[in-house]
Amino acid sequence: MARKRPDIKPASPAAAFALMLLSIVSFIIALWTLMALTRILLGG
Amino acid sequence: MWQRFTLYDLRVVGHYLGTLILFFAVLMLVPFGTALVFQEWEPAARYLVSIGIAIIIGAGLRFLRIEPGRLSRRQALTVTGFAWVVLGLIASIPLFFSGHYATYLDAVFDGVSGLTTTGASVIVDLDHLSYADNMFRFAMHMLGGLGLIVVALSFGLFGRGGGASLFSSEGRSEHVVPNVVQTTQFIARITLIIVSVATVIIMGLCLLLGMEPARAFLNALWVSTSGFVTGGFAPMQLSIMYYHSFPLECILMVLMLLGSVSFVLYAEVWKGNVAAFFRDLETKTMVLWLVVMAFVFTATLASWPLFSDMLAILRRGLFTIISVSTTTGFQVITTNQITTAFSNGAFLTLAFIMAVGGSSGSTSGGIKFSRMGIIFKSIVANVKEALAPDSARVVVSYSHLGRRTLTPNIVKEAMTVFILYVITYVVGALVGIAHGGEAIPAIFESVAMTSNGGITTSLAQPGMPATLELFYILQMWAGRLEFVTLLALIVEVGASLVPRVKPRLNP
Repeated sequence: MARKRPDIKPASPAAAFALMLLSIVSFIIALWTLMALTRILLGG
Repeated sequence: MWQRFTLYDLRVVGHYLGTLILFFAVLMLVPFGTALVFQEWEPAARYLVSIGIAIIIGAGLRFLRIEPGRLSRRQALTVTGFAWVVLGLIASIPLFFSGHYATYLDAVFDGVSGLTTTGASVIVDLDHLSYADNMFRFAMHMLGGLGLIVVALSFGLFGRGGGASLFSSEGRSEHVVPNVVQTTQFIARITLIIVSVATVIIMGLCLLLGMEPARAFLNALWVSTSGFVTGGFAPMQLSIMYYHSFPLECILMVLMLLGSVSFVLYAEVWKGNVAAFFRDLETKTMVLWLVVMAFVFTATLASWPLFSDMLAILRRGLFTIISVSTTTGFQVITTNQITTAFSNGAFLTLAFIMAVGGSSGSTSGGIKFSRMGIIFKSIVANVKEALAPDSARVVVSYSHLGRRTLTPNIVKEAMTVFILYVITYVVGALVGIAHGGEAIPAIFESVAMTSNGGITTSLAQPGMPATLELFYILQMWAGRLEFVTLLALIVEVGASLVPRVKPRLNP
């Protein structure tokens, strides 16, 4: 039986855009963190 | 059997190309106006003459009167295919006479590069280019980024003739809203909003950096436009390095990533359905791909003495990854550093990132995340089928504007375009090597041209060999049209040129 997805109320366009923008900024910070950790772990 | 062009087909194609050229003449009013405002009289005269030439050619072609009716798919493919080069040729007129190009072909190269949002430039002494010429370069980016046909349709230039055929022939098959004209208007509106907001923020930064207001505004407008449409032209020779501003680089990273998101997803977010963005196959593929490639890139540089500084990797490294991934081509490291301070591994990693590019339905080039995601899903489906019992029916689905089931046709289409990209990357690299280039820069440059990434290293230089330059122009053109339109055009032209064989009559 298919899993039932919870119904999510649509957000206002501004809020939705803000969330999308926030996720992109978070993604950039996550990439920085990943690169810093990689540099620390693998750096000579 | 291949269909030949009839005289009527040629009249239809000429008529629509004439419309586009006239529209391009209107676009050239923007640099003309800029020249008048800043009292640059020589560029003003140059653009006035170019507008006149474009009007004569465009109006002449418009006289090829046609019956009002629907534009066939074949005619639409031809109009779209030719439009990018015809407008590139028109654009080269004011560019060449600016005196900033070593050869006429260099000006054509920059015209096609601007329109296809490749961003590779062979201009000489960019730092002393007039405001009008710079405005024209970024206007071309804006027009090409949105899509020549998209912009023309949003202005209703083609009437009710062949909107749908033209729209899909430009590599856009997904409609944001059911109506083509409304779709194109939505794309233009979103771009305008994001570029305007970015311009205001970047202008503030430029003012803080000490620029005078007019210059700050122009730089902000140009960099915002180039960043969002993932073009890559910059107003200064040093690209983004010129500004020496970390906050500006951060804003541009966000802007480039926004530019690599599909407009279809913007429409969903606009409706408030932000979950569609997070669930989408392209978003998931992008996250996975960039995480893996950021790790590989850092790992290759971590033990490399010339570029292993932590801050350099974090600041310059991530910006470069995002710039090549979105196929923008902004640089915060010099071309010399890419070829000498970077390890070969890092150099090649950037080429791989650029080869894949951004999302379909966005302004990015490259193979696209959607195709990579579909190919990955197809591998998953094959593994599932191998492991499943004989009686089981394996169904693999993915999220892209709702739940979709993976079908052999979808996989075939993705694989075809993927293979065409790879073949073009390889052939372009071989052409570069044949012109005396080193293997890795030749691969990098070939990928940069086909994916419309635009970062050049050592081969694409002012006054480069004409054969190499022509091939790079072809690569930019093919990459922007995602091959199918161009291949169809080549086949049709080829079939029309082959003489007809008269049937033999038995005696």
